[in-house]
Amino acid sequence: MPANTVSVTGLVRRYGRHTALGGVSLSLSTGVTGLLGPNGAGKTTLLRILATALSPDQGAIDMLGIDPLTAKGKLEARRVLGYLPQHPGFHPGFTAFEFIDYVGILRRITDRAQRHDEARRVLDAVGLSDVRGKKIKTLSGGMRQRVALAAAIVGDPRLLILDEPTVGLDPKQRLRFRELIAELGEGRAVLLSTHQTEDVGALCQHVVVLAGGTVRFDGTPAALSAFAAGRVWHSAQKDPGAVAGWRTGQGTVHNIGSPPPGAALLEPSLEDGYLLLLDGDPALAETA
Amino acid sequence: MTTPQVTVDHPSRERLRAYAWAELTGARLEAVDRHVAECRECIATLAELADPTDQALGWARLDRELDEPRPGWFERLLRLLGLRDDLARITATSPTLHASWLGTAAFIVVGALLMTRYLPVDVAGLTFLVTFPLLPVLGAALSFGPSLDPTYELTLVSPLGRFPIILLRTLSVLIALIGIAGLGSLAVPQQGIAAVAWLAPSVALTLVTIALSVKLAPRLAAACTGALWAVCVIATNDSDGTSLLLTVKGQLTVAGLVVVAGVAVVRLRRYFDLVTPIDFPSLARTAP
Repeated sequence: MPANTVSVTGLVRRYGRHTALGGVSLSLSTGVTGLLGPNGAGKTTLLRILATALSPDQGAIDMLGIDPLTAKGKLEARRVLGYLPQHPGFHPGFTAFEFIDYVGILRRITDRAQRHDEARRVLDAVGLSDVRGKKIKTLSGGMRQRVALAAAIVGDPRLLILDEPTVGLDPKQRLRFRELIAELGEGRAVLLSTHQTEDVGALCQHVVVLAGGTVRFDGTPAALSAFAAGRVWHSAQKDPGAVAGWRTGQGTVHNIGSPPPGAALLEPSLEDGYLLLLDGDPALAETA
Repeated sequence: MTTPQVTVDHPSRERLRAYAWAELTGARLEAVDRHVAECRECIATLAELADPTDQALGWARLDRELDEPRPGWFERLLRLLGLRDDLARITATSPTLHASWLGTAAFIVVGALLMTRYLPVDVAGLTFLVTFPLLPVLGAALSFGPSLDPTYELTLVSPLGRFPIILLRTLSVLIALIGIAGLGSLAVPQQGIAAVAWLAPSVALTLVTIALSVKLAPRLAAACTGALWAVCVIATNDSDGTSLLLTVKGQLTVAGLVVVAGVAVVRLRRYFDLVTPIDFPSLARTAP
């Protein structure tokens, strides 16, 4: 196994009688891996387990050669991973620099000068050098999200876990975030949880689809798009054979499902493949 | 592009020289920095005062000085007391050391003291005994958890581990509350031993809460400790209304509990990160 990988085997996590993860296995290597799935799919639970914020009930994890399920391994793993939670919080009185400095303390950078240099480095990396002295509460939502990303990369972690970092960002901010994440994926493993198939298409070399606590797809974005090959077409009205259909800006209806004979087929997108996969078409599931 | 002219008094040449050489600190530095950012004239003066190499070095020094985090009074106090700056910051970010929480605790103490004016001496003593030790337990519950700590999830995945953070924050809350309750006790010298009988139980219950936090979320650990304390107070109350806990024998027993709980905390420290208790409000909502 290459050194820079994470391997997860048979991960199970239950909350009472509810099974959030029902035997998840996957592996990550260098580059950006997208984690797609609907709400309640178990994405955040999986990310929290990988970030060592939660413990699984069953399963094994090999994180860059470390077993994070032991007490010692957990602390070691925390040194090599960076985590951006779904709802990153900030101490309101902190400036961006003070917050990153605090995160440096949490990451055990005890030398003050070294910690401050690192804070400047990561804030520069996310393009926030100019506002580092401003209180976080005065920054825009996009800037705060970049502060959270800067916090995740303090100490140059080899594994980066990002839980829906682009939620609530406008298109320009999302584009900026994509650039940042793409840069961060060079030379390290990045696991990016998202609802945005466009983000996955633009950034990821590898995509995992999680639904109902199990892995429904594990492959390349092109293979996920290919799921919908021959199953996307457009028509004047929504077709009865379509599992989903919506009127587009061109006035025609974009259908996905089982096309009627002679339908005007379209090139499938990643979103088409994802929607069809989640619809649970058994024929498609088999080809996965 | 024109630079807006400032109408306020310009800093003296000597002060500008000190600024260029990063000799200013605190409010003086910030005042000059704000002025220079908008004053073309002073920027020109600065350019005259230093050669380019020295000026670049000066700017770098200045940047470092401006970045320097500004600790609050409590953090400065901790540093004065000899705590390392990183540990002082972790302690000072404890939500239960904020003025609002300590103010609430002081309010409860004052309320209990006012009750002594209207209650018989033994009942008043019992009121102290029940109320005061629960304050640090409540502080322990809130000092490490999602309720009041906006950076809880980042703190949870710190390579420092849960134990030192819980210990630092809980003990600092305990010391602060002992100070508040101690001042309150001075106001009722007529209570005798009853006025300070809360001290040993405060320490014991706090240590018990920390020990239980190895397996339970701090809030649950505190609830269990509080319930046990209530049972203990009721069970040790004689039929004539006096409490065994207000006697020397009772106090020595509690002192014994302090030692046992202290030893338990030390011995359990390595297990704090083995199992992370669930303490995410979002999970509580999603779990059926």
